[in-house]
Amino acid sequence: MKRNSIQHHPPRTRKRFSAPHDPIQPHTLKIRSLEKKISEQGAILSSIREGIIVVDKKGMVTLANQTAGVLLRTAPDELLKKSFSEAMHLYSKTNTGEEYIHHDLIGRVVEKTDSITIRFQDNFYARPKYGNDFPVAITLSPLLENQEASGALVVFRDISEEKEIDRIKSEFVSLAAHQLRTPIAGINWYTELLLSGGAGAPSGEQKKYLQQIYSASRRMTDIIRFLLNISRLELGSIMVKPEPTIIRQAIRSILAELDVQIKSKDLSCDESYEQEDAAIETDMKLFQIVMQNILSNAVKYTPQKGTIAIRASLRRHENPGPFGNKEDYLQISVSDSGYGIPQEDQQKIFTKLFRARNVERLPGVDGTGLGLYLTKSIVDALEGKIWFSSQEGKGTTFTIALPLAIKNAGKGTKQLE
Amino acid sequence: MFNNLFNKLKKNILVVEDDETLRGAISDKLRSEGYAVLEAADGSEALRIAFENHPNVILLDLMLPIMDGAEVLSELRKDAWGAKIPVIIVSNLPDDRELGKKYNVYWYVVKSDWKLADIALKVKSALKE
Repeated sequence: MKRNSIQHHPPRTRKRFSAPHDPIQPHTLKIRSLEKKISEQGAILSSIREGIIVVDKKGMVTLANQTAGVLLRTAPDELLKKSFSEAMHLYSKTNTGEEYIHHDLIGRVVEKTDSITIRFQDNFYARPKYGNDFPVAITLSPLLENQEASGALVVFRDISEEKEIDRIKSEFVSLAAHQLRTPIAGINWYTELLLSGGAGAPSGEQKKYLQQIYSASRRMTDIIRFLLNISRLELGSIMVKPEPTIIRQAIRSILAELDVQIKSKDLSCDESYEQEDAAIETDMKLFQIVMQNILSNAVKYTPQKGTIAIRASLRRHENPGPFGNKEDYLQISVSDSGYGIPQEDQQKIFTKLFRARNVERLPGVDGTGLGLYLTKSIVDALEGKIWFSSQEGKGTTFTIALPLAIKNAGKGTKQLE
Repeated sequence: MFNNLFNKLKKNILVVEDDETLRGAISDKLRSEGYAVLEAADGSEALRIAFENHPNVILLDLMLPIMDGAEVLSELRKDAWGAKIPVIIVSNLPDDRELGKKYNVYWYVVKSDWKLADIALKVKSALKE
């Protein structure tokens, strides 16, 4: 018997380096390729210019990339095991300069398994560990496993540059609008002088043309005031100065300004004040801008011989009112029998540059698409609420609710007019 | 001769406005209402004319060359006569309530929003006519 015969494996059964029959080789390869993938993804993650934070179901940070650390001035490792609100201190600024802290964004994303997008115009800021706060755009999305959220992915970036460009834009609009006021005053005043016969009485036809010039120029004046207010709003926050304001008196003076338009359209205007001398502590000027916008819209978007109804009443509510508590408040509604707002447009009514489809091309009805955006911003600044109901072809009712006194006048910096 | 005497009886209004076009319009309007009108195109000229002529009312722009409207007001209010003279601010800046209070301003007019006729009425009420 040959001793070595057993040790000699027949060549056909011995496949060197062939993976399928090696019990260790396939795993090693898999691990290597996984390691490569992980290191690749790590490299991708750390070179992404957006901050990325992953949190678990309970809102604890489980991953943060390099950029998140740089933006929040904290080493990414230090962000781990913190709650999201500890790791990233977020707040938004209101129109009056108030800061509002958001605690439960993650909770909302995980519970509703729905994303939240915080955009440029939402005015969110992040407060890093050191240094200055920065404006931030954020997307929070649920991480889904078997249709349930196992956590959330937060992607954010510093939008200081965009904010700066926007500020320059607003400053330009403000400057341009301001510069336009002097020549406009010139056109207004000389037309007025000609109309008053200061340079000899104009003939019938001349007078008619002069009146057209005058009314076009007044319209331009209004647009310029709008642009100024909008740019001021965007350059800062609204300055609020509360003072005793007699509601009826404030509304009457706006109606007096609109008298010519009301008469020329033969509109009937019905006013009802629960208390003749009801007064609240608010910013009278801002209140008048709000009423001016709502009333002039009612006049503008109501055809000939229509009706406008103004109702003002002090509400003492046992049940939660629009402010969600039992607070007393003033409610003013303005109803018209006008064109109404189409159902599909109603959601966008308070957004900038929005105009409803049914009035966009009406002859003689022009608007800037800025009025209700401004109105809503001011009502917010006055700590009030605004809402509406409307039916196309039947009319619209705008309602505002204002507190009897402003609690926090805020630190607004820009005066509107 | 009669003209001179008549002019002396007229109320004097000083219009301070650097834009010649606008100054012309206000001045024409006020003259047509029977006032004697003095005109100034910058802040220092405004003060000189005011102290020399003691007008009855001053219409004052805020953005002015050399000295701005707020400086004119501050100088004016230091003077015994100037402390009491009614000043109507006629500006394109938004109504500045602080400035108005500080210098006891009679009224605040935004040029592009006001009619000349309404400005003339304000002048009249400032004169307590």
